[in-house]
Amino acid sequence: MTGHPYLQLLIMTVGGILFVAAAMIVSWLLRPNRPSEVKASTYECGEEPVGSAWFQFPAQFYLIALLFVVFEVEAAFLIPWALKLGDFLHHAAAEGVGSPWFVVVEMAIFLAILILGWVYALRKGALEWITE
Amino acid sequence: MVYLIPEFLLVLVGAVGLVIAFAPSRPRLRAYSLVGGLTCFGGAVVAGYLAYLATTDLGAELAATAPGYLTTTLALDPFSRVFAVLSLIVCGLTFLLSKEYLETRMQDHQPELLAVIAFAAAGMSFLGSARELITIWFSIELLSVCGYVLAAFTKDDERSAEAALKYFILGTASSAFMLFGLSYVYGMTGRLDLVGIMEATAGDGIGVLLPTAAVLMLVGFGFKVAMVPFHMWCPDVYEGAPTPVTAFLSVGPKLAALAALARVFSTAFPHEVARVAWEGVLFWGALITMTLGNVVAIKQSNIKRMLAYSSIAHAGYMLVAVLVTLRSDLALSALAIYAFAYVFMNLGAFAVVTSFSNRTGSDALHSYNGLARRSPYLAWAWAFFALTLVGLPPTAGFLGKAYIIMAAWDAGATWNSPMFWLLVVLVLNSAISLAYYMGVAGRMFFKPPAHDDPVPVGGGVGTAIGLCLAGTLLMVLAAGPIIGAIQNGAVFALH
Repeated sequence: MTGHPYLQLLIMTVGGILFVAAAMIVSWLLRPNRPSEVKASTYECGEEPVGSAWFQFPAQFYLIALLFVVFEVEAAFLIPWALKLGDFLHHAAAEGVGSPWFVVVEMAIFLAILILGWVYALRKGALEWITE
Repeated sequence: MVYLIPEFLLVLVGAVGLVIAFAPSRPRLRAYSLVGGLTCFGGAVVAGYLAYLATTDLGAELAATAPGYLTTTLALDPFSRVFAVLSLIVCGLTFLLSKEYLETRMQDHQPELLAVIAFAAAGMSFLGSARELITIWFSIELLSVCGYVLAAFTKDDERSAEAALKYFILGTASSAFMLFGLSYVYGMTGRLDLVGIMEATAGDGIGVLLPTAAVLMLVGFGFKVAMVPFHMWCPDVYEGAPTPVTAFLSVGPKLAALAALARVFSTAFPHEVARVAWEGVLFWGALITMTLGNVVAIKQSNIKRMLAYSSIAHAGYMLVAVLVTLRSDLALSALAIYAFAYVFMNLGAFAVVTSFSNRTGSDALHSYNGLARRSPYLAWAWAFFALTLVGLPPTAGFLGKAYIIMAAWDAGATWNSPMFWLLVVLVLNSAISLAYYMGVAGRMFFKPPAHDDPVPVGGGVGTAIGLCLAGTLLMVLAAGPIIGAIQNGAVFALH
């Protein structure tokens, strides 16, 4: 390829926009236009909509979602750690460098910090569902 | 690992705060704020020793034998440890100056506020030493997320909620810009560490995207620093947030972002095209930031808004030091000294405001009329902090400005060069700032008070004011060692 290294990116961008625009214009020109109430209604997995989606959700949903993030972070770090743990222990034993306990203690500290956050949330009643 | 004692201490103090918050029999808040504050000051001494250690042979040996994951993510140089000292001092002073506010004006979640401040200070300390894009991003988010929570702490207060929402929305938007910039840098160079980025961009053929990425990153940092035009959030957030939180927000994120800015841009982008871009943006940024901050501050009628604009102006002064990091050996020392001076004078001024509003519930400027009669300690303390903030000798503020001017001069500010005029603007701005700082002092000493009720000063906040006064005076002694440590370390300057 010759030219600027980002030339392809530019062509791709412009081409993408043009393609979408052309497709929308062509379908707008060709399609028949017969709107009805059923067609305009919200489609949510076949469920009948019972009202507008614009109302206040209980903040508790967000709390639970946040608590879930704690577990997610835990898993995101635990899995690679667990996969590599065997390698590390073999390496430490073979080469005689580093204590095998080092990685275990390190993970324990990490988990302790996360669990502290979780215990805090539990003790503050974040999981107690308050109904009006 | 020894190098990370300051950060460990801050996280530990925060964790203890959380435990206190859910402990069944609640230990006294008083004990926590006192012990936590003292731990921070003790940690500051340790961090100061580490900064000294980093210049010695033993320190070099320790750094050489440190595990790789540590040295690739964090710079263990004196500059980073000097900022660790700063983070611990900020945390300790905020602990002291919050105590009375927490006891009198907050019903619940008192230990949490202090704990979140400790976590934010840890983020501040990490950001000062981060040398790798992911660590930088992580530190800046640790600091930011804690900041959003802190701004919302009096959540039943409408203005606190408004401040937090503004801070959050604008903050995440600027974070997105920064992340976008970081992704460009990684995409172009394939490297995450700053030195690697510098090496990868050494040749030609990098093109226009690198300066674009640098400027996008500057948006993220500029928001934290409150550089014009990313300063809009600053007055509203400072006014709405609880006053001790405002005190912390006005120093913590700003100084850490400035330190990171100096490190990132001088390490990763020292080559021509990108350098011209960020130096150009910073030049105009510094000039407009200091001028706008000072001019708008004059018209304010609320002392927290006034101090918000004043802190914008101070960010402008410090940006001059960041601007010349590649041109002058003195720039980093100047930045560190100004940062220390700024911590003491700005936290001191906010401590006076906190103490006053704890008793009177007012932040309006006119309520400060005749304070000299109602509380001589607060009035004299303000007068002194005002002198320091203006930068009059023999105070720490003068020292900081003098070093910034020296660094800029060293960087080649000859007659009629742009740098020369930037310095002229800086000096003129100091003169402008005299008007509003001294305006408040004038109210305190020469206007009649509405009534003569005394304004008592609480123990914690009074101590914080005293420590800040001592700090601004003793900076003259500390400046030598700080410069010595940063110059001798030179680890960061060489990269």
